[in-house]
Amino acid sequence: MINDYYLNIVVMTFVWAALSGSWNLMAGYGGLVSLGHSAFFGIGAYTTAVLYANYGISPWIGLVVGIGLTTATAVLISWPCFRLRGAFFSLVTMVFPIVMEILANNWTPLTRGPSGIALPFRPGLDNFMFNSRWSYILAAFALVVIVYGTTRWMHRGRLGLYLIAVRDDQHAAESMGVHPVKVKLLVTTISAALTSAGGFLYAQYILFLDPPSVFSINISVQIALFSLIGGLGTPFGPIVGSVLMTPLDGVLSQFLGGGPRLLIYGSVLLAVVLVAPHGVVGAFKKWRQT
Amino acid sequence: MLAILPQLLVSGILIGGVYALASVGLTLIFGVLRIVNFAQGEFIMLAMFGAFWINYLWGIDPYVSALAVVPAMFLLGLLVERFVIQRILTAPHSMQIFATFGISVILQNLALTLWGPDYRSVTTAYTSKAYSVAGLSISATSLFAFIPAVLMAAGLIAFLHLTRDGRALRALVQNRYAATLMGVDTRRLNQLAFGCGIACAAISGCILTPMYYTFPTVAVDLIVTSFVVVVLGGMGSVLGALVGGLIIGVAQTLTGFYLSVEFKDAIALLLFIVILLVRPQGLFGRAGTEEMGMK
Repeated sequence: MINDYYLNIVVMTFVWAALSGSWNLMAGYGGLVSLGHSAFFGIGAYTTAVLYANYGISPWIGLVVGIGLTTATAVLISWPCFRLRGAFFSLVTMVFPIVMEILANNWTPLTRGPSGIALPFRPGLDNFMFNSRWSYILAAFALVVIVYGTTRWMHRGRLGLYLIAVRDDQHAAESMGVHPVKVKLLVTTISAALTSAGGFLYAQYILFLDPPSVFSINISVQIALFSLIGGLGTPFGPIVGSVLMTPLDGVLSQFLGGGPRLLIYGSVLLAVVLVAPHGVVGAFKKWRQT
Repeated sequence: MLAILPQLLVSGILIGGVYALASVGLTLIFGVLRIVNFAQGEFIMLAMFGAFWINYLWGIDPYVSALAVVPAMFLLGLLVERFVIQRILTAPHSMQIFATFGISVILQNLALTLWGPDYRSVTTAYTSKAYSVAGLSISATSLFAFIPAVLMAAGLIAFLHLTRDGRALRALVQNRYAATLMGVDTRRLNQLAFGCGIACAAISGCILTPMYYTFPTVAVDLIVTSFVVVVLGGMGSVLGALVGGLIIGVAQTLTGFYLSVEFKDAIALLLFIVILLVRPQGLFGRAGTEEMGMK
């Protein structure tokens, strides 16, 4: 009964929960709705893959370099974007994965362009590659725990409160002594670092990368959608969303092509926004209160 | 290299007209409703498919088919406004983003499901025609796109300044609350603005059909550029969209020729960031506008 197919779904559920949870830190608490998280995800994945496949550098070092590179990029590109709020912030974030994809497609000596990078499979802890899917489940679960822990820590902590204050009324928060750019920058850095780690895990698990598979807008949409379905701005929301949607997505992609599948995604997105904007967690809380 | 500069400028201005055309609806909807319509490109795509099928089935010229496509899209716009936009006007902005983004995902993949991912094109008598003026070659399709773009912007500006509804719309752009107190029927004007915004998308779709490929993800090419244009011109400003479109058109043509075709989109992004840093309200926007839309 427990075969690779089901184990694969478990791994992907955890990976998506972690990615969506990282996104939720920015969007759910800070109101910074990024539609470009696939840029962070892709940089994390590509850094490990390039270092390992081209130069034989251990993925462990790749992970660290990837996180460093992603956070540096995140700081560099998000700083000017903080001048924009709401939808305009989202607009700009949407552009970055597109630029990254152009870059990955054309920087052939490094990324091998559109043909993509296959990571040579040499199992072992030193290469972070495993024969058993259980090891990947463990690794992905660990990442979910880290993301969940970070969110919990933020949820009740000072940073979370600052962020919510800035999200709800920037001027009022500022007059209370909160530095909006500082807290936004901090949460963006954390979110980017965790997303980059998700990208690393994805690369180590799938062992093949090409520009559209990591930088596609669909990845950013999926990351956002799972949090939204589970409950935006709650620590548990992204996990609930991923547990509900990833297996469903597995079934859908088995029977349907890309078009109809995303059609369903879009409809779910719109339906959630119109009917249950607080997601499953929100609906559950409301039900318990009554 | 420099001898070709006048030609590049002309081509850039003409393609800029197309960008302006695609951006006018976006800026109108944002100005009045304070909603960024992420699905604008998809509405253009739908209109392109409309024009394509009318041409394919009955051989009618895409410019003529606008007479049917534009009213149909206007009605679609009213429906979308009634069932989606109206319900999210006061929602947190993350929900507004997801609502219009959801519409864009739905429309794009509806087209993909119905018509497949193929690139289709309409061939007309003037598709590859070009005029030669003073040693410069001007393609007929881009000229035919440029003229209506300018006319449409002019018409819209005239409508906004000369008619009663237009003045009410401008009042809404300036101060929604005060306009409501003065007895402006916000509900009806919201519908009008969204319908007109989508109708603008439909016009640009029909005009783009003879010069561009029609395919479900065409919006991805268009939307980034039109957002840059809207931000550059100043959000909510029709004149800004026109001028912004021309600037981006010229900038892209020059980069495409002197640097590399791949960097055409990158230059738009670069301009985007420079504008944000130097003048976030855009060329024709009022100071503070960039903040008004967000809360």
